[in-house]
Amino acid sequence: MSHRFRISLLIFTIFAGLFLAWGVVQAAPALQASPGETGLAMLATPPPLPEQPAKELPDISFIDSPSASCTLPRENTGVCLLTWSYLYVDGGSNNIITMTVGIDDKARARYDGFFQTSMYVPSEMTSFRVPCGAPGVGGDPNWGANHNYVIRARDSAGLKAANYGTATCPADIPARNFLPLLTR
Amino acid sequence: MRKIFIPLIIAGLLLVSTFAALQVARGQEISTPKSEVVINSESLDGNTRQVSAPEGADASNQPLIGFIDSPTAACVQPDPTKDECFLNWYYMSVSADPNYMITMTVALNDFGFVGRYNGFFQTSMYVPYNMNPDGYKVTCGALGSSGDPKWGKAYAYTIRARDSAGLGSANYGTSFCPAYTP
Repeated sequence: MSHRFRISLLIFTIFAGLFLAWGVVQAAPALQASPGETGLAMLATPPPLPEQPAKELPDISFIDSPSASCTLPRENTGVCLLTWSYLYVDGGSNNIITMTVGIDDKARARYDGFFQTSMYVPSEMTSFRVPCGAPGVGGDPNWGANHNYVIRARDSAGLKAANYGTATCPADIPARNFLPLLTR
Repeated sequence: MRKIFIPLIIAGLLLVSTFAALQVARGQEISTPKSEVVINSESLDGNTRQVSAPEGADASNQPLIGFIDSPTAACVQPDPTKDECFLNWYYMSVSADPNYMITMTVALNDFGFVGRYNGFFQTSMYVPYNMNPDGYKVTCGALGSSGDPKWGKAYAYTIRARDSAGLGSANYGTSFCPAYTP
């Protein structure tokens, strides 16, 4: 090994040592034990933080969707109308973003909020045609089809509410018109 | 002498055509009404509402027209076997008191104006959903046609109101419709 290389190695080692010592000096205050605290206690697991009170989020309300009704406006059409008295949801201090209606796994309506903290949808805006179904198709021989519905709401805080229900319809099937068979 | 005239004429023609092209290009700008100044605006989740005043008018000394209240933009598909949806609002309401309300209009951006309500010596205007019980008939669209894979078409709308002081109010929003799945 050359003389120059040895001197360089020596200088490098000295500098590295100096830097290490400087680092220890800088870190010393953080490791300083408070009066009355032993070194061992300092290394022990710190005590758990005091329990913070949980932040209370203003809850979105349950959706109010009374009187899910299925009516047969005209006989022999097989068409029933599924409606509610009204739909209502309150987002408290948050804005309501959307409320949606799904019937038998199919989205049928979407109500978009516009700077509103609650949403009220009157009966006339919730009218959906559904098949009435043949007698007994829903399990009850006196009635027609059952239709499952889901009403969902979401507010600006990301909170959600949902109503799941079933409406049973009167039985009705479309009338068949038998045309006379005309021969030439 | 004649040799100078020809380049001069050509240069003149080039200048004129350049100015003409500039005018055409400027005419194609999407113009916002220059005579209006927005004095209050709020945006939330893709919806915006604004109050504006004529340029130069001292809006601070005037009683402001309110924001238009147009809650619950509904898009309903009554019959799932048809590509027909109906847009409506629970109500539209605006007050300009003590000024008179002149008009409130509804425009679907895809179609243009679809409704106009004219004031008649009134300082506020209230239009309930059952003034247009069927709503505005639109196509529901295919699944995902709005960009949202769960929904059909989306319709951007603008509701504007104007009062007798020339103040304006506008709501800009979008309504998403259920998809038509034949």
